[in-house]
Amino acid sequence: MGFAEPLALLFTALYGVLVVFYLWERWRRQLPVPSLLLWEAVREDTLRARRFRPDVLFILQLIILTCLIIGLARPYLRSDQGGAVGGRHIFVLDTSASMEAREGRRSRFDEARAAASARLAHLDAADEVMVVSAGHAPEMLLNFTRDHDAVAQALAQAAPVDAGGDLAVALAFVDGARQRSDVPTEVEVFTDIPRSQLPAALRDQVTVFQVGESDDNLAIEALQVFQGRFQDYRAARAYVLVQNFSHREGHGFLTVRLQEQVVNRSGFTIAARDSKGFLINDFPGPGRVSAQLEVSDALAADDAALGWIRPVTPVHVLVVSPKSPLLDDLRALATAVPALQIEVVSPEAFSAAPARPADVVIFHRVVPERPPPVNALYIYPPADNALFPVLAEAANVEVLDWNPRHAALQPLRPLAALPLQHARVVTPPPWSETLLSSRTLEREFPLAFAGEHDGRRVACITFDLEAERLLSSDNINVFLFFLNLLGWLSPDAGDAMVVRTGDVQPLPPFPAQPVQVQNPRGDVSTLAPSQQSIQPLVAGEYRLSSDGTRRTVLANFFDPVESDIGRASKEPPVFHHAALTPAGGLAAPRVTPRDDYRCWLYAVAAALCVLEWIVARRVVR
Amino acid sequence: MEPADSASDGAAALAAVLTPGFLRKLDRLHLTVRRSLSTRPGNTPMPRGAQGSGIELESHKSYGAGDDLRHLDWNAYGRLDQLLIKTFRAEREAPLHLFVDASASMAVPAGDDKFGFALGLAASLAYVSLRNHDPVRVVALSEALPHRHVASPFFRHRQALHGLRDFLLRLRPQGTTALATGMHAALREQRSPGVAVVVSDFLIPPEVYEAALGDLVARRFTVAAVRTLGAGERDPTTLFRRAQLVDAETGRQRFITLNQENLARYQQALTEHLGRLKTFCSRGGIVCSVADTASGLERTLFHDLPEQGLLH
Repeated sequence: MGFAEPLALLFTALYGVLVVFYLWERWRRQLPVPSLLLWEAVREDTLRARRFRPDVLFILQLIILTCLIIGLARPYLRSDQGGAVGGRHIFVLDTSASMEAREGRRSRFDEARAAASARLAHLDAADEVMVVSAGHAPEMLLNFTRDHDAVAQALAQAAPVDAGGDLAVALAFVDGARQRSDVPTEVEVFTDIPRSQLPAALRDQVTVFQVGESDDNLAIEALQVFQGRFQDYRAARAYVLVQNFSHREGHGFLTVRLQEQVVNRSGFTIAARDSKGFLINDFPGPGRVSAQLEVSDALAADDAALGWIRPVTPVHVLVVSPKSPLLDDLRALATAVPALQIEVVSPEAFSAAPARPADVVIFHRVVPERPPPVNALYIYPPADNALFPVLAEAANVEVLDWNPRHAALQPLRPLAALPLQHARVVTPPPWSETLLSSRTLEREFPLAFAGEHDGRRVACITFDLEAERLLSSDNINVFLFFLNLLGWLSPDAGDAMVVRTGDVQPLPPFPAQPVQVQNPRGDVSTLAPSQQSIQPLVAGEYRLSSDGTRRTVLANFFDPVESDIGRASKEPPVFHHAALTPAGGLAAPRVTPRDDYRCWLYAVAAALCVLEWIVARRVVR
Repeated sequence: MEPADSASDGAAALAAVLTPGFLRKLDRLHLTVRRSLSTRPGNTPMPRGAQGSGIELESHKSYGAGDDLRHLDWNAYGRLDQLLIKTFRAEREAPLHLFVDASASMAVPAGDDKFGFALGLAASLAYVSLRNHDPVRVVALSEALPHRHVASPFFRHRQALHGLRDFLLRLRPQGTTALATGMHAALREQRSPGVAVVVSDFLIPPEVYEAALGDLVARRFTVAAVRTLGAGERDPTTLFRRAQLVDAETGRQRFITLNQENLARYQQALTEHLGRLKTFCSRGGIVCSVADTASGLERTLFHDLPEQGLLH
């Protein structure tokens, strides 16, 4: 058994007051009279006042006082497992990027954390609390515990991330925990999202403490660096999109730097809820491009963005092909693109271990018995090859579908729907994904597919590229697709990865494990050997290193929904529990089963009061 | 239990009495003595008794054998030719015994000043008696006193009033009441009866004061009982509502809440107490007067006691 309000036990000092009341009877004013002769006829008050002897009245009053004191102390019973019969609370702390917005001197997250701390302070000692952060993905920071100090510590250590959040997912997550709980569980959400914008099915199950009102935010919504795989920095250009999310005109400066050198600085005025684009050319060299807004707004996480301009790195391509007009097109292409170095060998002269290692090997109408240990592109593989079994031949087929997510097709949409003269129906291997597809009357089949196999990138074009005249202006999309595919097959290991915060990105290849990661805040962590991906949650530059090899990941916070920090209304908390009173605010009391004990004690005290009154009527005049 | 200011109260009461103006008022008063066995001649006329040798002619009677021929009225014999004997009103000394209750109960409630009242009354009666050349003595009665009493010598002249005052001023209320025992001890060597005035609150068992007063009557005293009664004693609601009452003489305690029921019980007990005292006195030919200290000494001396027949 325990007491939820142990300080109430200090009222036991009233026992002394009760005794004093009795002694007061004894100590009351003495009045000398000539004689008690005449007072003998008068009935004396009671014998109990003559000296302190606990009688039935005193015992009754003692029990009444004890009941009241214990009732105030709010007793509860512990279960057989030693746990108290207390309530459970799940604190959902919104850690999305919008919570970083400043409201006066504090951020929204500080206000939310303060509200959670205040709520924690008003909970009973026996209450269990779980802390869940609702950032890019819900995360349980602390499981149910009665250690409120640990809860306070978890709240103190929680921090918002530079990524969008999905509060509905977090609420669904905690709703499962709430339903699994065997005691009454309350979900209390500390967020900047109004309660009315939560999913209706979940909104009625939670109490929302909303913070934040400001809509003052200007954000970089995009920093796109355009640079072909075989283009150098002189041809690169960057496009910066600045969005004004506030409901009034926004002013500021945009500064674009290459490394630390300022490339462009532009002042701007953007109307309310409008956007403006900036095109930046003439970069003096390759390297990291940074765009920085100089504005005075509430949210700083979206005031900066990073990009990357690659240096020129030549690609050595070995073409294994019989005599073909395609070879002439490839030689012409190599002449036009200085970074592309093409070497042609016949199938008979091809060796899996050439004297000069190539970055990419193109097999045209040829499939070697033993695939080379480099990235390879197979064009129109022969019908009897063992690597890509050919099921049938097709003619005059059209590109009916394509995979826009693949790097080779991202800038090309849609592909021109020119019919392809010859194609082979090939069953794509399971490790590959289809890039282009068409269909015959019998089946759908790939026109191009690519994937990673045995640590190498492999792509296959099943239509006859020779017949399509690669450099013909009619097939510009096919030409661009070919170049993109060639660029995908020859990745520049020295390139920095540009990603968006919250996205899961595969790690670049490292020669050894483990990989150490230094995030933009300077925190260094070591990835587990089994971890093959990274999910940046803070915008900025991540530095990955392993055994002397260094890579860079540039994470940008581009999320127009999250950057739109203005809220239509600020809604007061609506306590979903029927017994909770909104007037109590953060200090709203909670009704738990142990309150029943208190009610019983008060009822016993009331009954004893009646009994004491009856006894007093008989004992005391 | 002795109140600290009882002496000062007594002195104040005596000072109020022993003023020329008040004494002039007392000059009009005389003690009414119904009988006296004193053989000493005095100035107090006796209503009945042996033929006295006074000068105030009372009556005539026919001569009988043995009558003193010195009282034969020869003038009447010459006019009426009958032998008539002149009888005179006897004038005897009427010693006044003032028994003052000096127990602790006379000092409480302090506001009632019963003891000061008793001293003032005693001084006044003593003055009345001394002015008539009757001897006066004061006997203080208390268990705390040696032999349960202390008696002053007889004062026989008005000039001795200051000595009487000094004696009274030395008295302090203390101890328990010794009405019967103290009185008996004080009268042990007193042969001739006189006037006995007992000033007390009579807050003792009735059989005790009945025995004491009965003893005086048996000694052929002209007895008067003055029951001093204060306002606080008559209406205790002016003193308390709820208190621990302490008996001033015995120290016994009693927890009393003075509600209507208890007040009625008390007042009934007081009425019965006074009624029994009056009944006893009436049956024994004892002058009984209830002197309310709140009404003042003058009302007792000039109204109550003359009405009861002790003074005229």
